[in-house]
Amino acid sequence: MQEEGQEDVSAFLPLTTVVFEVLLALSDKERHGYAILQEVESRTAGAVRLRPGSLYRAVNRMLDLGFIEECEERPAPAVDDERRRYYRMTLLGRQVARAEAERLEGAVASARSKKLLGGQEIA
Amino acid sequence: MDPFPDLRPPELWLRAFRCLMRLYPPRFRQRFEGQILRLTEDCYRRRLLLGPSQARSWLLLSLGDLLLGVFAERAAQLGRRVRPQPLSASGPTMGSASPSQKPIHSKGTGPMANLMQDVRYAARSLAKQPAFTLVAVATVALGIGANAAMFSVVNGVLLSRLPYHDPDRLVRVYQNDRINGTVRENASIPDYLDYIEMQTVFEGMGGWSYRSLTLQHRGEEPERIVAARTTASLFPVLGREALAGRTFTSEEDRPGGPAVCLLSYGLWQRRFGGEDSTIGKVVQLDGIDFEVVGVMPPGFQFPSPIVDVWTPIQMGQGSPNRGQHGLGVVARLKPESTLEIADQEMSSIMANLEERYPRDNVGRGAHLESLNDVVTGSIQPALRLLMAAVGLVLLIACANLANLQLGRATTRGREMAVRAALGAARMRIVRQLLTESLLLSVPGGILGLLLAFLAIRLLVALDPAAVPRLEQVSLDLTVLAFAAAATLATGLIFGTIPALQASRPRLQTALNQGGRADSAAGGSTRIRWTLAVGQVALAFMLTAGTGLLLRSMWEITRIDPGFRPEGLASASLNLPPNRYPVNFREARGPKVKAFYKDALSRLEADPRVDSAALALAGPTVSSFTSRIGIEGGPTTPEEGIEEEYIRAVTPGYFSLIGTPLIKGRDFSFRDTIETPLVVVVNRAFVRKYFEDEDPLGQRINFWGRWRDVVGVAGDVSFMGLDRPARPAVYTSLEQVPFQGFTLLVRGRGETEGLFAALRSTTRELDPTLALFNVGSVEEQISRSTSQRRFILILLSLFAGLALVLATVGIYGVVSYSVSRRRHEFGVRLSLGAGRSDLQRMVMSQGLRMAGLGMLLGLVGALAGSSLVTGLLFEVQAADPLNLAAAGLFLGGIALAACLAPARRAGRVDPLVALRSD
Repeated sequence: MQEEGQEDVSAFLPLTTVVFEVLLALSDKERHGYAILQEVESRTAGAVRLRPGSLYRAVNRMLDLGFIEECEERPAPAVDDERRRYYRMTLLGRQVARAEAERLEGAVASARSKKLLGGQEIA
Repeated sequence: MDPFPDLRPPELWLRAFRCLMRLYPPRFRQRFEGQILRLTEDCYRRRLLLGPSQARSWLLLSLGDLLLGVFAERAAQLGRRVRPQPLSASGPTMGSASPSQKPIHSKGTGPMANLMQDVRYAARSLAKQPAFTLVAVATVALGIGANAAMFSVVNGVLLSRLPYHDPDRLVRVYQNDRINGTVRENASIPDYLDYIEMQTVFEGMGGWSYRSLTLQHRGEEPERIVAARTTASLFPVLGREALAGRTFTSEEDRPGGPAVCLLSYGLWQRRFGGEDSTIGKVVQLDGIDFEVVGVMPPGFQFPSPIVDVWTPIQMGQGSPNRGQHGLGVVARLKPESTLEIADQEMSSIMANLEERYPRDNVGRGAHLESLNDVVTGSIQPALRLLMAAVGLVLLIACANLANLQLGRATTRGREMAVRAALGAARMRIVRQLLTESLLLSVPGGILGLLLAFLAIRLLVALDPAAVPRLEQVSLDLTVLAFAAAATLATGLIFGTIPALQASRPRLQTALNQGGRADSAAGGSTRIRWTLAVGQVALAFMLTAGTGLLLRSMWEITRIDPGFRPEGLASASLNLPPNRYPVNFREARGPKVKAFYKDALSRLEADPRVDSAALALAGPTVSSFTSRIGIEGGPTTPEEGIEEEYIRAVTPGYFSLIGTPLIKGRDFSFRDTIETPLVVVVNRAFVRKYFEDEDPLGQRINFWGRWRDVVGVAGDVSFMGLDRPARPAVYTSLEQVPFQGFTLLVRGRGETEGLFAALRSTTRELDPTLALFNVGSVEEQISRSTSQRRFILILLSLFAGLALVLATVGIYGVVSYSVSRRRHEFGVRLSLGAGRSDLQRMVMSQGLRMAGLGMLLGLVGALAGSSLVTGLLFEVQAADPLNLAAAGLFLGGIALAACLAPARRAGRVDPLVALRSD
C-alpha cells in the first residue's frame, strides 16, 4: 500500500489537530511519547497541549491506519526504559500529512482572498 | 530502576490512572498502559518544577482526559465492530474525534436522535434553574460519595479475598477449653503431630508460633522484630511462594536443621535496600547467624502483619510439652471436604487425645473457623452497621432528590400539559423527565466518586490499626461498578415517581389553571409528605444509633482503669536466653535478676525519672494464665481447678502505677528464692475465691509450688477498659523470673524524656539489646479504644449527613407547601384568621410530619437494634433515655426547619395573594 505512493489519501481528511501535530512532530525523526509531547508544545508555544490519554488514543488510531509505526531498534540499554516506545512516520503518514497541509494551505488562501488574512485586519 | 522515586506522582494517583486504564478495551490497554503511565510520570516530574499544586492540577486534568477517552475508545471499538471507517473528524477540536463518531448533523428520528434531543432539552431546562440543579447534584454527590467510600472499605476488608491460593478452603484449627469456657485456643506441638497422623480431611496443615528476636545486621542499630517459627508445610498450605529465593524445605524443618530465615518484603526494603544479593546473606537473630533463603512478597502477612521474619520451627527439639498451647494451626480442606466434616473429624481426634492424655488435654476439644472469618471477624459487625447506616443516608438523599423533582414537576404541570396537548405520548414525557433525573444523578455520582476518593484517603489516615486489611481499601473497579449502579438506581427509581406523577394527563385542569397547579398536585403532595416522613424516620434511626455508641464511648472513658496512666511510660525488652539463662524450674537466673536490679537503680538515678518498676506485662497488657490450686479447695484438674492470670512484678510496682494495696504488704527486695514464696492477689481474685475469709495467709499453688498470699491489690483492667476486671495473681519477678519484661517509669516531665531515659539505660546495660513498644501508657489506652472511635466517627458523620439532608427535606416540603398555599392563606386572612394562626398551622403541620417520622423511626430503630448490640457498652439498644434524646434532637431540628416557612406564611399579604390568581 505504501509502495503505490499515489494512494488517494483525501478520504482521511480532515485530520484532527492531535493527529496532524503528532505527524508533524514525527516528520523529522522518530520520537517516544514524551518527546512528541515536548516537541508539539514547544513548536506551538504551548497553544496545543497534549495529555497522555489523548496522545496515545491518537497514536492508537494512527498505528491502526498505518500513518506511523513502532521502531524495532531501541536506544542503548543504559538510557532505555522498556515502557518507552519509539514511533516513526510511514510513507502513508507523510502523504496524509502533506495532503492535510495542502488542504490547510488552500483554506488559508481562501481566507486571504476573503480578506480575513493578510492586508489590514477588520475589527 | 527509577532514579528519582520521590518525584513520581503519589501512588494514589497512579492507582487512579491504572484503574481508569482498566476501563479501556483490552487491546488498547495492553498496547499503551505502560507508555501512558511512563509519560504521566515524565510530565509530572517536569510540572513539579512549577510547583506541586501545578503538578497536581495537571494530574487531575490528565485523569479527566483519560476518563473521557474511555467513552471515545469504547465507542470507537463498537464502531469498528459495526463498520470500519476511515479517519475523519467533524472539526479541528482536539482529541475529541474518533473514527466512528459521526457528527450529529441531521435531526434524525431514530431512537438515538430522540435520546439526544431529550438530553439536550433536559440540559437546557436544568441550566435554567441552577439553584435547583446544584442542590440536587450535591445531594446525590453526598449520598453516593459516602456510600462509595464505605463500600470500598467493606469491599477491601470483607469482600476481597485473602491473598492466598483458593483462600475459601483455608481453615484455622483451634482448640476450645470446656473448663475455662474459652474458644480459639492454640494447639500444643504434640497435639499438632497427632493431628497430622490422624486427620483425613485436610490436604495439608501448617503450624507456627511467635517469638520476638533482636535482629542485627552489619553492625547497625539492633532492632526488635517479631518472628514466626513455622513448619515448612505452612507456605504450600497457603499456596504462596517466595518473591525471591525460596521458602523452607522439609530438610530444614527437622530438629538440628540449619539456621535459615525468610524476610518480609517490608523488612527487606527497609533494612536491606531491596537488594537481590540479600538472598544467601547471613543476619544475626538474637546473636545467632541465620542464612536468608528468601523474601516473601509484599502483602504476605501470615500469621500477622507484625511478622517480619520466618524461621523453621524444627519441631521435636527438646521435649515439647503437651500442656503448652502455643502453636497456631492452619489447614487446607480437601476439595471433597467441608468445614462441618472437618469439625466432626477434628472433634473426634481431640476426644481421642483427651482420653489418652487426661493430664494435659482434659476438657479440650476442637474448634474450627474459616480463615476468612478469623481475619475479618472482629470488624464484621461494625462494618455491617456502618454499611447499613450509609445505605440509610443514600435513601434519605434519594428521597430528597425525588422531593426536589416532584416540587419542580408540579410547577411544570402546565408545561407538561402543553406538551401532551401537542401530541407527545405519555411515555415520551416520562422519558424526558427520567432523562432529567439521570442528568442530575450522573454528575452527582461522578462528583460523589471524587468525594469518596478523598474520603478514603482520610479514612485510611484516620486509623490504620483499628481495622484489619485497611491497606486493601481503594477505589477499584468493583467500587466504581457499585457507585455506577447506585447512581443509575438513584436516577431511575427516584426519577420514576415524579415522572409518572407529572405526566399524568390532567390536561384541562392544568391548562385552565393558567399555571397555578395546586389542586392538580394533590397526589404529588401526598407523596412528598410521605417521602419527608420517611426521611425523618431514617434520620431518627441513625441519630439513635449514634447516640448509643456515643453513650458507650462515654461510659468507657469514665471507667476507672484501676491505675494512674498519666505520666507513665513503658518499653519492652527481651534478654537473649543464651547470655541470660534462666532455670525456670528452680526460678534461678542470676544474670537476669542482676539485670533487673541494675536497670531499676539506674532508672531511679536518672533525673528525668521519679520512680521505676519492672513487670512481666504492663498494666494495659494481658499476661499468661496458669492453673491455680487453692489450699483447702480443688487442686487437680479433675477437681475442677481453674486458670487465672499470673502477673510478675518488682517491688514498688503497685505504688508506681498508682494501684492501691488494700490489705497486707507489697513485695520487698527481701523476698527471694531462699525465703517463703509470696503472692499478692487482686480484688477480683478475692471475690472469686475468698469471699468470706481473710485472704492474707491463704496458700495458692501454681507451677507446682505453694505460695503465701501476703497482700491484696486493687483491680486493674489489663484486659481492656471495656472488659470486667479478671482475677489475677501477682508474683515477684525475683521469685518467678522472666527474660522478657516491661520497664515502667513515671516522671513529671515530657514523656520524650522518659523514653530517652529508658533507651539510654538499656544501652548502658547492654548495647546489643533492642527496646520495643516504647510508648506512653495513656497512648496505649487510647489505642485500645481506637476501633470504637473509628466506628463512632464514621457513624456520627453519617448521622450528621442524614440530619442535614433530612432538614433540607423537611424545609423543602413545608416551604413549598407554604408557597403553594398563599392563595388559601390569603383567603383565610381576609376571613379573619390571625397571622399567628397561620404560623401555628404551618408549624403544627411540619411537626406532625416530624412526629410521625420519628414514630416510624422508633420502630425501625428497635427493629435494627441487633446490628448495634454487639458494639454497645453499659447501655441497652432500647435505652429509653437515648431514644428520647434522639427524638428531642430531631424534633428541634424539624422545628428549626419549619420556622422560616412558618414566618413566611405569617407575612402573606392577602391582597397580593388573592390578586395573583
